[in-house]
Amino acid sequence: MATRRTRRSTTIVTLLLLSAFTIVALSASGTASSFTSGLRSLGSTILSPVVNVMNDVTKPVGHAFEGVFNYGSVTAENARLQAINAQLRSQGLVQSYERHQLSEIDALRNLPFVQNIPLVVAQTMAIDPSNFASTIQISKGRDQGIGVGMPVVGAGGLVGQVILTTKNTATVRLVSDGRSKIGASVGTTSILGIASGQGAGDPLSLDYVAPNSAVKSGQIVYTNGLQGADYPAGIPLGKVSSASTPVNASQMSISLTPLANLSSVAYVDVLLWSPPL
Amino acid sequence: MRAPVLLRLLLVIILVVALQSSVLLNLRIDGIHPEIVWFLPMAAALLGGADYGAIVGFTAGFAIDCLLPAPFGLSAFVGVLLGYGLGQFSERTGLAADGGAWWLVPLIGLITSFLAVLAYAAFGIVFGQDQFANANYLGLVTVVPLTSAIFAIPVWLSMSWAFGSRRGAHHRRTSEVSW
Repeated sequence: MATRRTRRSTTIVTLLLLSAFTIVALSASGTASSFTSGLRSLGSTILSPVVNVMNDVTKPVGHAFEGVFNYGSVTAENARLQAINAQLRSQGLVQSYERHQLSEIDALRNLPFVQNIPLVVAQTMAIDPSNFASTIQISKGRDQGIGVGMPVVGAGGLVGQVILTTKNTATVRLVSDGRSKIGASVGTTSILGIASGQGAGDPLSLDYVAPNSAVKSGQIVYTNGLQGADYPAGIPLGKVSSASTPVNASQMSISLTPLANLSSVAYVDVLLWSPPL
Repeated sequence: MRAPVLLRLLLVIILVVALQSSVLLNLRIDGIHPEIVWFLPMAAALLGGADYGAIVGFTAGFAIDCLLPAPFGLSAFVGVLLGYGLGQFSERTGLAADGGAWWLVPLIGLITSFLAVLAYAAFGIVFGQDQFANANYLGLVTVVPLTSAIFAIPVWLSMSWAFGSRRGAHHRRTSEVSW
């Protein structure tokens, strides 16, 4: 009896482990991606309404916690906002919250680097839903024309790339994420490199730049849009915060500060752009 | 597996996953948010045995995988391992939080969520998620276990309810899963 039970137990756990392993392997390799993304999309579609209701109900709790555990930053933010408020009052430019949001969206509609690429404005719903990846979730998805691989920009510059879509939401991998690799060029020069994310809150690293190239702190780095690149050319990515060539190194050591404020992106533009085949 | 238990388990899993994907994302300390989903397979393993631990681990992991930008199926994989592993450990050693001292549940939540974070990171790297190596591990192994210890009691009570009374749960510990 005990042996029969053990065998059944082993069968159950083996089947579950094999199923999970198969899903991970299919998902990671990109094989049968329509199957895995369909499965994920189905699950997300079922769970999202419950999550949205829970979000609405529990928002005040989250805000209260934020106030208690991040008191220092809240105080600093408060002081900064008071200073801005005082400045705005003196200019007679006090605006309502809604008008401020509208202006933010309006700013997104007039980004010079977007050129003629059609775009979709989306609101950020969640920042870093996983402790292991730098991502945001936005309020527009497949139904609004958003697809995997599309670039996402904010008021400052490049924010990231769409990596997952559902009917009405999408997940964006931020440029700071460890898996983010972007073909980049420094200023108006022909110095090219690959900008890599180093994790949330950390500067980007610009790799494969030849030693002693003319790269200086303060220069702006743009997407290079070379053939096969994942982004159109000319989107501001970051500002060089340090650049040096270590002794005997085969490349320069360059750090970039992202131009978009990745920790508080309220609205973003998704560029309806795909790399040319 | 009895239908009422199954339905109640499904309800608890959906509610905990929804909590995890909503309010808990705002409860950040040093940028790290709690991960209470890991406690579901652990509670199921202690209340219902290894088979229940594995099944709840798979279901809860799969649900959270649908909402997370992480490798699809990774949480389900780790959930099965944790639920089954703790269930086996519990059955062999007689470890039972049910009916024990009140602090046993938070303690188990603390230890097992610590192991869960490390297992998730390790398997993530094995499955090609190199960026997992750059995560804030000091924050993860302190914030996640400590917050899990706090949230363990309500999750435990919910899972106890899903399994029926404590007495029923005790009986289920020694019975097999039948379909």
